[in-house]
Amino acid sequence: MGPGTGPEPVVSMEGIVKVYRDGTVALRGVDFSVLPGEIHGLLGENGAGKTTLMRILYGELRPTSGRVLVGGREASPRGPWEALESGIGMVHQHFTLIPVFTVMENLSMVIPGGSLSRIGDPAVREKAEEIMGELGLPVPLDARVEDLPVGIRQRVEILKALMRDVRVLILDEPTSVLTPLEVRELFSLLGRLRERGVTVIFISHKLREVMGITDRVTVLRRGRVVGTVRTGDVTESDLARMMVGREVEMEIERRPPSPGGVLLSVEGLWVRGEEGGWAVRGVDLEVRSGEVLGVAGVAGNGQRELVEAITGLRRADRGRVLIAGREMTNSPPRELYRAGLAHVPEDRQGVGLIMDFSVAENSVLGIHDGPPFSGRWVMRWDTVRERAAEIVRRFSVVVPGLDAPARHLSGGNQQKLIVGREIMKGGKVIVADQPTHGLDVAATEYIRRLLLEERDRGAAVLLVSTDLDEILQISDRVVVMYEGRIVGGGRPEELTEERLGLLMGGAAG
Amino acid sequence: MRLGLGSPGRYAGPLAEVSLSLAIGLAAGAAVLAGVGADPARGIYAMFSWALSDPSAVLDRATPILLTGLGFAVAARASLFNIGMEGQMYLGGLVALVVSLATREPVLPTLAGVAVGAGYGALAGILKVYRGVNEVVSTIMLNWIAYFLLGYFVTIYYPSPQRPWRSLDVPVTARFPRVSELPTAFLVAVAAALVMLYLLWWTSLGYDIRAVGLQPKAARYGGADPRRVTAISMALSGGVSGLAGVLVVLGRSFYLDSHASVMAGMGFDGIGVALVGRNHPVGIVLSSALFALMAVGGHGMQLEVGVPRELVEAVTGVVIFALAVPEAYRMLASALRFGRGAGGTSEGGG
Repeated sequence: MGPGTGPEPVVSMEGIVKVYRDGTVALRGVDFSVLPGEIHGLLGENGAGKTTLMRILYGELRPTSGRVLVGGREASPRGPWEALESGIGMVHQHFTLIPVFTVMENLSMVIPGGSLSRIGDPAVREKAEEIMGELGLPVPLDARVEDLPVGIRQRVEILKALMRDVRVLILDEPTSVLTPLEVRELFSLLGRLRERGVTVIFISHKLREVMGITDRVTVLRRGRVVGTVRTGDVTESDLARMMVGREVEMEIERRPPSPGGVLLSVEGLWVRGEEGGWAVRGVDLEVRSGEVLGVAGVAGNGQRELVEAITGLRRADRGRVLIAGREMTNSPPRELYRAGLAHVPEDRQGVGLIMDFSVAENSVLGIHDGPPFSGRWVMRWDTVRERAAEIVRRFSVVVPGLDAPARHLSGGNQQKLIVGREIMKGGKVIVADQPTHGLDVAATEYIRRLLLEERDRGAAVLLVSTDLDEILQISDRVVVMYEGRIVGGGRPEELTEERLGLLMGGAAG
Repeated sequence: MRLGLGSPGRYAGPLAEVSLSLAIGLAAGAAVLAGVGADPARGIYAMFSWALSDPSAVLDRATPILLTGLGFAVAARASLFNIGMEGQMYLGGLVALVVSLATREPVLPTLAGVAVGAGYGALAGILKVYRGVNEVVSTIMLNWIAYFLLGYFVTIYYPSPQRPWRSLDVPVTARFPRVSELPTAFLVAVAAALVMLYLLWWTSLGYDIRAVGLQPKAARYGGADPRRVTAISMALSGGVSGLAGVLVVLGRSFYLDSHASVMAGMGFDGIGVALVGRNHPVGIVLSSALFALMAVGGHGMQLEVGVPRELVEAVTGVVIFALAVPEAYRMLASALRFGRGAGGTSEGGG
């Protein structure tokens, strides 16, 4: 990109290094630039440094060294307000709207010189309506944000940035919260923004999306730039290779199953949901030693309640749960763990880990009470630390240190810590609920492999997932849940996509 | 973990925060003094020099608030807001007095006072677990019950024949002795802090308490029973608060009066002590000493510089306020579910 060879970048970042206070090195000298009017993908695995880099550009974090140039002039922002002044806006993965305020109230606060006193200002409304009209971005301006679905809230966020006339719009994993239809709408909006000359930086780890929408892609790996390429010049597997540093085996080798005795059985289970109605309506399941039973279904068809009832986190009203033949219905979690249950919960940050506990403390969550990790009362921290070190080593969990809080781990490493902990229990039954949700390709593959290894060791694995690829890839048998019932199933090789689609949609009996 | 005493670097942040708060608080206090025409430098010097010239008075003053601070902190670690330390302390003191009159030695009265304080705390915990009664409401009401029980027993059953508004004196043989000025009651309080430290970070019960306080759902997944933890931490909280009352009666005042004036307010002071001490036993030992220092030194400021008592309290209040703000903010923020992934922490960029 020498002088005179094509357009000047709108924004460039040079030699960005970021070391966090706890010693985590997030970025190791990154050069990054975007051209006017392009959609630029920023691709990388969890923990590659994508979000950190963009938070620096948006002024939320200060780089340890390096500089930011906007329009060729040094303009390292000291805060989001300065980034916005220079025309850079960001939409976070977690929205930053005030839920009890209306859309207009939220917008009135972000315009230059904005404050609550400008809520009634017709100029604000005029401007919002103008942008909405130009871009075909309909948003109900007088609705309260908390009443809006996620997809619309995201539009409000984008509108909020456009109210500041940004020339560069950063979107952090914008599709992770959207339904497929909403994703399509978002993409066509991004196309229209590009036509208007707005540069979009699109952070993602989903190859297909990046291939589909971007003009150029920069791939980050472990805090370094692997390369910047024109999207048209590469294939999906080129990007995958850049991202993980090796060919991703999309196929996982599976040895034929050798099912043994029944280790987990669920008989006629009825469980109530949050609102008091029946969420699980008479489910029967059997999982044998040495097999993976996949429970497929669209989210919200009773899978969560089923898992919680099996794992002692929710009362089952009727029916029985047996582990290795022992009646364990409605036993507390601690007794279930003693009976040989391991549980990889769906919500890894809210349930699977205590975010402010250290890696070491988290490595024994659930088995901390009793030998070998504690006596009658006293914790044996040396034994705990040995276990933590073993998990970190064996499952290649990247941690700043055993005393670092779990909060400081990337999402993929948090999940590896949980899966590692549960596997180290050496249990008979493993219940894995959405074990790879939101993880990057390498971590996903690794965790699926681990579950298969556990199966081969003789564990009974109950895999609950809304990801059909995952279900079909590692299950030996599949059942489909629909409205709290098991509506069908079979061996993965017998099930066509069409058949599964019909079952999941409740259209086949 | 590891006591939280790991690398010195771990303490750099909190220490800087405390120093800054202290500087701001003292500056604001000095401004208050200057505002009424007193010499701020002389006033603050008088406060410290007066207090340091009478260390045993400072330790006496620190003893009960150290314990009620611990009481607030152990409940706060389980995300419970116990403000019943006041009442738990009253009952602990009353029971210690009554038992000491019979046994004429300090051990049994101490144990009885702790046990009754613990039971009184557990009562609020059990009401919360089984009846869903908010602990703030129940402990406020229990405070009044304790206050009037104390007045009743002091004036009806154990009044001093000479001064009927106060109780009989604790027998000399049942008092906590002083070893060359050093009050042993203070040593007992420090020992309680060490026990609490050990309990929270070196036992599986402490693991459960901290887990329930941070993430109740994850704690349940981790096998902790939040109801049991709630009841136990309220009992622990009440136990140390009861000990506060015991040590006032057996260690310093040697009597009670119908309005509990020998200890009134020291339960509530525990909230401030705990907040300034970051809800950590070591921090609480230090902050209780600071509170006591300012309370004792306040007399100095009053006598040597001629600052009125109300103003002395305003100055110490400003200092305490500045010190308590950061922790109070953190507790509020986590209660309101803000502050997640706040700036400066590494984040995976999922």
